[in-house]
Amino acid sequence: MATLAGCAGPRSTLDPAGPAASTIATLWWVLLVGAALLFLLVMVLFVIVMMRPGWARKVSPARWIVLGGLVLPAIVLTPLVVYALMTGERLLPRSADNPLRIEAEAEQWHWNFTYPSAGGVKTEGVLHLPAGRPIDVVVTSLDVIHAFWIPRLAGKIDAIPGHANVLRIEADQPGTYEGLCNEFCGKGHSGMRFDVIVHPAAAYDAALVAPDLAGRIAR
Amino acid sequence: MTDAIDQGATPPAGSALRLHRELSEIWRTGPGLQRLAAVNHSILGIRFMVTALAFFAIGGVLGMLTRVQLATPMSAFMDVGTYNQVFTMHGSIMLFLFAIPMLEGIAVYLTPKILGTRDFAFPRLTAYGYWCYLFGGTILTVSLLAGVAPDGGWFMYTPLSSNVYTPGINADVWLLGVTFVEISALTLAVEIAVSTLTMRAPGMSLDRMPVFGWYMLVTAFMMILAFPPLILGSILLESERAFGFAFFDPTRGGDPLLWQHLFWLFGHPDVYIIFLPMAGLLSTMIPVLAGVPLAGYRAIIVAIIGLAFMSFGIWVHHMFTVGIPHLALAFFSAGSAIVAVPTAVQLFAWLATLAQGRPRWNVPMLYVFGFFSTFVIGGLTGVMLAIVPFDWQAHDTYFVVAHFHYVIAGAVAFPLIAGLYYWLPLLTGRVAVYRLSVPAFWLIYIGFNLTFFLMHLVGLLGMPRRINTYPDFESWTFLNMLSSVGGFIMTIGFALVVVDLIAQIRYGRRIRRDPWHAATLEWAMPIPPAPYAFASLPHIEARADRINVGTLAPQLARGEGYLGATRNGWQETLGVHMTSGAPEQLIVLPRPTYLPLWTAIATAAAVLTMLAKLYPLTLAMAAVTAGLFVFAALNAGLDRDHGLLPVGRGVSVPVHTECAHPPAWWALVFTLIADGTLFTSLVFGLLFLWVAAPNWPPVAVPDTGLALSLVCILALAAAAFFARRALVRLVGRQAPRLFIALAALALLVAIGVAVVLIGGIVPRPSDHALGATAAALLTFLALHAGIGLLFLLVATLRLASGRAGPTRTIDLRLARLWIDYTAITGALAVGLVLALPALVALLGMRP
Amino acid sequence: MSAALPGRTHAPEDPARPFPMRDLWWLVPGFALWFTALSTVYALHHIGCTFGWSARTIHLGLAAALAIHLAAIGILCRIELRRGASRDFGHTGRFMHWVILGTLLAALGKVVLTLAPALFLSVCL
Repeated sequence: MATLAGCAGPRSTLDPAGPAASTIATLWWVLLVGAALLFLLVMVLFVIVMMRPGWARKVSPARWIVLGGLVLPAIVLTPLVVYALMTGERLLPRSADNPLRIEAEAEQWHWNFTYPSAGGVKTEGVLHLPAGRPIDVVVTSLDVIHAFWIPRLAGKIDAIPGHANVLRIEADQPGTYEGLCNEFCGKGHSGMRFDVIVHPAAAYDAALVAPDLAGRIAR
Repeated sequence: MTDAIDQGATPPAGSALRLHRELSEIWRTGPGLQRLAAVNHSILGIRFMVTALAFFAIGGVLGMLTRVQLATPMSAFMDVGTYNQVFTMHGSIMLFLFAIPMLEGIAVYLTPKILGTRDFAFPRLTAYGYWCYLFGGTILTVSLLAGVAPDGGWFMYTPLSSNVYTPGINADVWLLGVTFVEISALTLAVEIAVSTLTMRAPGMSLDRMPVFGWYMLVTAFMMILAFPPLILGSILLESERAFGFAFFDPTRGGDPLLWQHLFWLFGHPDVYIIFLPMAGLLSTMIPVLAGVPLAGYRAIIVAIIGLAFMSFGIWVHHMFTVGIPHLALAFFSAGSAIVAVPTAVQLFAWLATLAQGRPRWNVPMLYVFGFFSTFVIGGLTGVMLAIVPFDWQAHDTYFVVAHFHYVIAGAVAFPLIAGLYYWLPLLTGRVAVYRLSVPAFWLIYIGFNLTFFLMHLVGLLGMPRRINTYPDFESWTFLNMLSSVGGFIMTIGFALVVVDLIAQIRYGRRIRRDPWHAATLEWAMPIPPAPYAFASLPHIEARADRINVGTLAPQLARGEGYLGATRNGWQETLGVHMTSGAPEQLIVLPRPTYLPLWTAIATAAAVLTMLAKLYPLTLAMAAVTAGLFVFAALNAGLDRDHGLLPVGRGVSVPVHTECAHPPAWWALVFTLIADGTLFTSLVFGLLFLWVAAPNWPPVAVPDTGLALSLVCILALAAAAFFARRALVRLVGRQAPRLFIALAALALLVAIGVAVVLIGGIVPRPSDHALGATAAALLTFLALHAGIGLLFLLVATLRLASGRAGPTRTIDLRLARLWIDYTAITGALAVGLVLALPALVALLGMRP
Repeated sequence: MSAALPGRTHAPEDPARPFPMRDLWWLVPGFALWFTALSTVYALHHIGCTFGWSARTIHLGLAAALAIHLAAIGILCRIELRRGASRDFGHTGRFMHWVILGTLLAALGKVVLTLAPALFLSVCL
């Protein structure tokens, strides 16, 4: 979906940079158009019944209620729910896609990332990803509930102590993106963010072992 | 049985004025400090509404403070600690101290009048509910001034709200203060349900009840079912904070998600609890403003019953991002989308009503327009958020903030102000001046949409809720500034409404009768209403929203309906058959008393000592509260039989004390439904932790003594048996005392055994959630057995004083019902505790 | 204006027996069964995932739970349809029959629309 003026921004869900985010952005535009039409319909009906009393009197109350209360929602909601569920299915972290696993650990008020594929390298506050490859982020928390969110790449998932939640993300292009905590987690909530650095897929493995890896935790 | 003095209800002899004087003398509340003893529904209804408006002002100021803070990036207006308290209290005040009490005030003030009765069933309970609300709200507000207000967000997610991460009393203030207010809401819910079902104008069968009555009835039952999960959650979280019980701590077999389930099991229905009464106001006003009866009466009733149930089955849509599998989310996604159906049925019924009539453009109608446009937007964004993948992006961003302000603020504020303009002539006897009304509306409307519509966009641009500062992104900065400007425009609008309403109250033209050509009973009385509401009660022969107010009002004032004369100085009203509305009992209501105030003060003292961690004092204060309740029960009812009494129109009915099912009976039935919901939530909690929580099974395997457990169950069964025997003997005019004593003894045994069992629980409640839930189940049993003792105590004392007897058996019947319930839930609780080792063993089968 | 004219007559305008109070509970079971259906499938799916049942077993279990609930609501509909024809409780009875039948049919539709789509989705993910 083309980026509309004003929709761009480092944390904009309407400026997607990965398959999950763009699927959801498309969903949003569909929802918006549908909602706008329905809103107009109801408001036009309201204005008509107010301004032209008698005009709508030909339609019996029972018909009003059946058409507006049952038929209209049925026509709108049935395809919408089917479309939504199919979209949801597409975004699930299936193991058949051979995703890369990265562990994300939230702690008041920063993020630590572990890369099992690179021998357990750890970084703090910076998440390194390869472009164009599905990644499963295993998200958990050491203290309170946080939420892991990279708005331009995918939806969010909560980081809950005692639970490990998996979120499928993927970035189309190399570049830098913003990630943040999206669940209120105390005094440092506003500042609890992280950088996402997406490397070209070919350079990813080398980048992870490079000594100047951004965010690397000294051992 | 009857003697001369009871024959008061002979055909009316005097003029309307004389009847007015006599009734006013009986129903009056004294001046000055005696106002504190008021139990009258008109006084208490207004008190609820005025207090709620005061809290709305406080909540509004807090909202404005957040808008000041967010108007500019990197703002230093408030520090983060203050900001967290401010937004938490904004949400908590608006929902718990404004919206719910406001609907209670409307219910208390309007319901009896619309249903054609003189008061609610339990005036002292209404007063107690009011004082609890006022004191609970005051505790919360004072905590804000003291800088120790709750700061974990209005849904208090644990572990953030646990004593590890919020060590101060901030979270305790929320848990105790809100629970205090909620218990008051629960008492009112029971009262609304009982009154709507059993106290209506004679002849008002369910199919003749104005739709407002149905809205209130459904709302009341929703409250009865929705509040217990949160009350339970709050008790569990407070016991974790105060005594270290492990319910939500994942390191000890608890689960923070249990809190979220319990909270949203309440939280989602709560939205509809707030919305339905407002829809009830709309369904009452729109037909009058259009000049035709409401279209789709039966369809609306099916829709709101459906909406009520549905709202309990979609709580998980607040939890789409917690890691629940997509298949399970799909139930709640589809369910949340389908909520649009009953909502659309109502919306189109209102449109159809307007279409059939000749709607008038006036100030209430202007607000109806405001409601339509905001509510439709809120509903549509609601459907968007029900779509799981979209919610993964929008969840906990300003998109959600925008959505629920459209739904709650729009769908409450606009109908509420419409209702204020519509019913204020009834309250004050004056009609509006209307100079400021229209500009005030447009300021609110434009301000509201400017503030909240833009929040959708800033949310999609990635702004999370509950952040106190944000970096200077161009788009965020601009939108936030505009939102804040909108907020101030809206506030000016609200201020103008207040000025406008004060002007109406002080300078409005006086009126004697209904200015709207309304067709419901609340206008068929002197305006403003006298404390007795109706000088005599109407007989209803058609749907009661098609009343000819003009002819009915003078007839009722002359005493030509039921109860058109005074007798014994009693505050009389009629109880009717639930479905047909046939008069069944003469209900004699209590006079003004300070008892509700004292009881609420004792309850507040219990809450405050708990906050101060002075637990022995808390126990003492709780005992005082219980004692005051017992004391209140002692003087209730009448001290002798009166037999059948004439109530007018040739009908004679017994006094409620001599009936099998007086309002108190139904009140206990509905209370037990609420209590059963609490118990079910507790069982759900145990099973949820068992299957979902980390760190299960516990290291220590539970092993509860089978013999002791059986003794406990048998003792409860024996108590139920003896209570039954006592009642049989009383009805057979034999002394029931021995069996009452035996029942009390059996309950004492059950309590003793439960305490021993709690002491022996393995693992300890502070070591693992399994022990904690087992302890909670057994404590539930012991507490209920203890309350059973109080019921028996009341029955004994009242038998001794002659207020209970072979024909006035309600006390013993209530005791029996309570003990039956205690025996059943107690047996289930003990059974579950016994089943714990098997449950733990089952966990071994996990792959 | 058909409303209340107090005084005059007290001849019961509706000769039928009053609609029984206990039958008010019939407003509950339709939607309550929807709620138990929801709780059952939700719990069943969770338990199945916890104890490692196969996707097929879980799907079958969910479908069975759904079928049982649909059958139960269907039976209630039949009972209510028959009762509506055989009993006469006057205008209140006709009204309650309409409303009760409305809740039952709405509940039936709701079970299908809210719970059936999930049967086609992948489990435990």
